[in-house]
Amino acid sequence: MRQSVNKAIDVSNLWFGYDAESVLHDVTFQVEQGQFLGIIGPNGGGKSTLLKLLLGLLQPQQGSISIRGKSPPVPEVAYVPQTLSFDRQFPITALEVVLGAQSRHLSFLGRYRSEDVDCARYALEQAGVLEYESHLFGTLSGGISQRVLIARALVSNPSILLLDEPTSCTDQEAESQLFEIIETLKGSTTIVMVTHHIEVIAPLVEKVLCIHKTALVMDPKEMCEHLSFGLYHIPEMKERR
Amino acid sequence: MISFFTENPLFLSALLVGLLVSILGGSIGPFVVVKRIAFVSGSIAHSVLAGIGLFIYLERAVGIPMPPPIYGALLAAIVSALCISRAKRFFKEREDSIIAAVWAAGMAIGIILLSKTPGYTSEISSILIGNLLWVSPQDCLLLSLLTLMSLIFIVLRFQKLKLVLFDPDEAFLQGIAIHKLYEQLLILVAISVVALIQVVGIVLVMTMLTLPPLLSGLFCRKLSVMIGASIIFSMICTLSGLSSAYVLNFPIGASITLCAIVFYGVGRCIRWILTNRLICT
Repeated sequence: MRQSVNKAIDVSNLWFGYDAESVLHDVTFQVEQGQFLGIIGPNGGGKSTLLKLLLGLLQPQQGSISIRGKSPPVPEVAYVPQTLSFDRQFPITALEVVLGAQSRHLSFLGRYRSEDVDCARYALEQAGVLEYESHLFGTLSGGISQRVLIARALVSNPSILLLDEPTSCTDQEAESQLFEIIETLKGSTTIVMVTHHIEVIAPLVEKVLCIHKTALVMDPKEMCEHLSFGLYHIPEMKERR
Repeated sequence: MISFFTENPLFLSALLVGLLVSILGGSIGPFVVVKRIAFVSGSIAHSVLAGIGLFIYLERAVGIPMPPPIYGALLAAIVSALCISRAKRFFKEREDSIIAAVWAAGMAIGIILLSKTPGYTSEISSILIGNLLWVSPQDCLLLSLLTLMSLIFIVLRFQKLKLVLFDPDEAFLQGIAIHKLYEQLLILVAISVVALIQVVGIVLVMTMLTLPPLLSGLFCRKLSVMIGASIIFSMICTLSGLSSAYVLNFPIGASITLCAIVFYGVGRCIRWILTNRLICT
């Protein structure tokens, strides 16, 4: 356990399944503080399940997960989900979405402090979407709403940032803006990003985790041609394990 | 116009109870609408027949002294709300199927118990279609207490409730007990359903929990503002429904419901005109 305190994320012999169907088999990997980990793999491979386990939304059936030496959920972790998972008709503004990540600071009377509102506005400004603060979240475009979610993740200055396919519904411009924000966080924040855009994240990440039921940790330079074309090298995974 | 309320003490108390229930229903309704759980409220509303039937049966057929049937309704509503929430959470059942099962089970138990109770027919119609004129001072006191408690809960928990309904995963990461809070919301829905049954009856409860919030949602961007507007619209619907019921000699519950539908239709037209004008300019 002493060793895992120095790691940002320490996953060891993790097994998980939904009902009788096994999803993750014996997954082991570590992420150092400030490292950028890219998670790739085919649909149904268990990428999003792994993120949910890291967040504490699911509990492992076997094995252990340690986030900065503690079991999830850990307050230092922030999460950027896919925008498609939200109800677009919900009456909530972009500022209120960001303020949601300050709920730990709510007073007994259920009110946000003025400094929390200032921090939320600053996070929106950092993400370049302050002008949309009073817009309804559901009326924003995919790229803008994604940046609002990034502002929400950044507002609490997290030490670990988990992103679940953040560019799945964004255009090229929004995608490059997102990676600009991530670039500024590199080194100071541990970043774990699930993505299908292997060729885009390859120059940014320090480690790649290829997940298809089980996990294969790779150096970005190791990613073969198959991976760079968006294919997952399942035979190689089997062989190397 | 207002004179008949002041001249007739029965109508005046009906007006007061109606406005009180409008505050409760108007404040809970927006949560029901934004979380899309209107049919949960319908299921709870119909299942209260079991509690009402049980209390009437135990008193009339078995001879056990029982509190007024509204307490039976409250008990059944809360049990139903917990059943719906826990069956989904622990047994991973499909929510729509649980809603249908609770709806049918409550009605079936209520019908059987009431059919075994002598002289129940006069009360069943007021339960099904509601009658504000039948509300006793004790009922009125209970409704006042429930409304006050619900409002305090909403004010203190508003931000957390909003987060749980919009993004439960983020709420969980913020350390909020999401299942507990959602269950508390369902209990509030159950309480407001019981209150609204006094006004519009079991059959029409869903309209009063959904139409005023829908109408306010046409013009409000924030949930907090939507709640305020929904309370005002609920009061207007109750007031106009009571007036039209008096003038046209209609059943009160149905008149209030029809007024709510008409106001929603007018609101939708206004919204359509405003949107088109904005697009054209």
